[in-house]
Amino acid sequence: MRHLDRHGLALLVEYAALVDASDEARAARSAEVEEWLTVAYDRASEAGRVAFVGLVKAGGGEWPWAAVTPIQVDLSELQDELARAIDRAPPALVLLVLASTNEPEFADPDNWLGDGDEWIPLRDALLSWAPETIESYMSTGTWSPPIIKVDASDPPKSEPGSGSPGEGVEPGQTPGGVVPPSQGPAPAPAPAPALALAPSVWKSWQLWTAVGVAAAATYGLTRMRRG
Amino acid sequence: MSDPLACYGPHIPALADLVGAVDVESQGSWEAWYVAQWRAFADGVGFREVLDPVLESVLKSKGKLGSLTEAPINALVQWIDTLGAVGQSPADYPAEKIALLREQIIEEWRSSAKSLWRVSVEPGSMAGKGCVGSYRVFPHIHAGTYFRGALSQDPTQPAGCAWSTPLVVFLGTWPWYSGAALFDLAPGLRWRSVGQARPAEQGARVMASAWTFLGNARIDARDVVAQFDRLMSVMGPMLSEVKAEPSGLGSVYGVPGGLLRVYLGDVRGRYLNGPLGPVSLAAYNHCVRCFAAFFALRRAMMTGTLKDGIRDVLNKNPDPCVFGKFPSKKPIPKGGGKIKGA
Repeated sequence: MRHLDRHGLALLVEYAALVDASDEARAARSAEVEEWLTVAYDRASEAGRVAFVGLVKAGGGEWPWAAVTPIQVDLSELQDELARAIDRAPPALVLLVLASTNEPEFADPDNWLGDGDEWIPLRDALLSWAPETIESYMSTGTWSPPIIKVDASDPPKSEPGSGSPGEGVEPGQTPGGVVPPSQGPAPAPAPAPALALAPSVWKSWQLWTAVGVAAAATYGLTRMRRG
Repeated sequence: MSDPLACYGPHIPALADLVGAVDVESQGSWEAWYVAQWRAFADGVGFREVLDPVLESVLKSKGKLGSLTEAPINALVQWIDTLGAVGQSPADYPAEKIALLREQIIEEWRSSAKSLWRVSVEPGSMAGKGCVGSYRVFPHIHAGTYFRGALSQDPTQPAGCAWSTPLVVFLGTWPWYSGAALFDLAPGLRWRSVGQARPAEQGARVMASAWTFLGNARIDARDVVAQFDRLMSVMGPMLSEVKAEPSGLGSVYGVPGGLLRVYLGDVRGRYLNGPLGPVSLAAYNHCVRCFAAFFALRRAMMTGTLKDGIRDVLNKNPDPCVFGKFPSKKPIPKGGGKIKGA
């Protein structure tokens, strides 16, 4: 059993999908993404923070979108079993995976992942960033393995957990005939938050990036593999 | 006569209307209103079935005022103690010591008789510096939350017990007291009793004190307005997606500043999601109700005839809408009439 913020991950999936959107569409959400990153950073453990900053710095690119753009990563030097196995993901995923455990009150009781085989596709999807599969595990009120539709006349081409998660997936569908449950109330899309963080916070980005890079160098935790 | 709550902003009178009026000169009116606040709270968090028989027995026995104020709190604490553990705490999590220290700190705050709707303290001023080992007694978030802006411009604040900014908690909306990640199961509902420590009792006492004359008179309403405005502002984009009328079975509907509802369904388990974290509809509704109940009673107190002790407290409240506007009645001859609006 481990805890993973499904609401945060839902937003990360949404933001990562915007990476290929138009400049205008991204500009409209930039402040929101920055605010979300601040919150995720604040709630992450020290190891998660250091790894995140290292990944963003190594990956380069436009801030804040560099933090939510899926890239090849090598986190094998981290101690956390899930985090160190991540192969391809947006850097911000490490903030969620390595959230702080120092304040258990912020652990949503419905955010606990199970250990059985039915959870393997989700684990694989996190390790290689398959957003459709990740979303299929998000039900209205909790993490839960998706319901598999069995059609004897047309067996699925791949079993959940085998092959590349998300492979051969059509838009709006998920692997293995999985039907994503509804997400409950729609997340607030579109307009930038009315109270985005003051620009001065993110003007200090260079400063704390530098701090993070120094820390990353010290710990030797992160390394970017350009793929 | 203009609504005295307009002093707090043009949107505040409508907020207060959400929970109904109370007549401060009628004990029965206040008791019915007080019970209604508890029942609404119980509906939101899921302990109505426990609360109702307790309230019924108190009301049927025509219990004294103390019983009516104590009984719901005791019922809540007992119910919290029956809730199972949430997930897995770290192996070294010192639950008992944290419960004891948490209770002690809130007791100290309560004994100060200050406004406890929003508490902002330097960590060093708290017993045990608010920490047990590397665990904080209250969660401490530097980033902005639904209740307040960011505590510092530097997001690289240390984790653990290296406090570097004041602790800010909002006990007026307890058990959702931090403003971060407003899940169905509120942080305060995880304050189970351990040994002699009953931290939830302390939290519930502060929350419900806003529904009593003396407790309400102590609260600086500027804190309440600021928290309400912050919540509405940061939830603006999310609330703009919610329709005013139901659009189908299970649809969420409501208006900004009002309560959110689920058409033919339960609000529990339903969330809005935003960059500051998820907001359960139950948490949102509880907070809005807390704001509304505070102002509904404050309005009644500003327009009704109060006992001298309560008038004195209100008169000394630094809130400019009431400060100095409720001098003691004693010099006024009997039949001097009600205090008109502020």
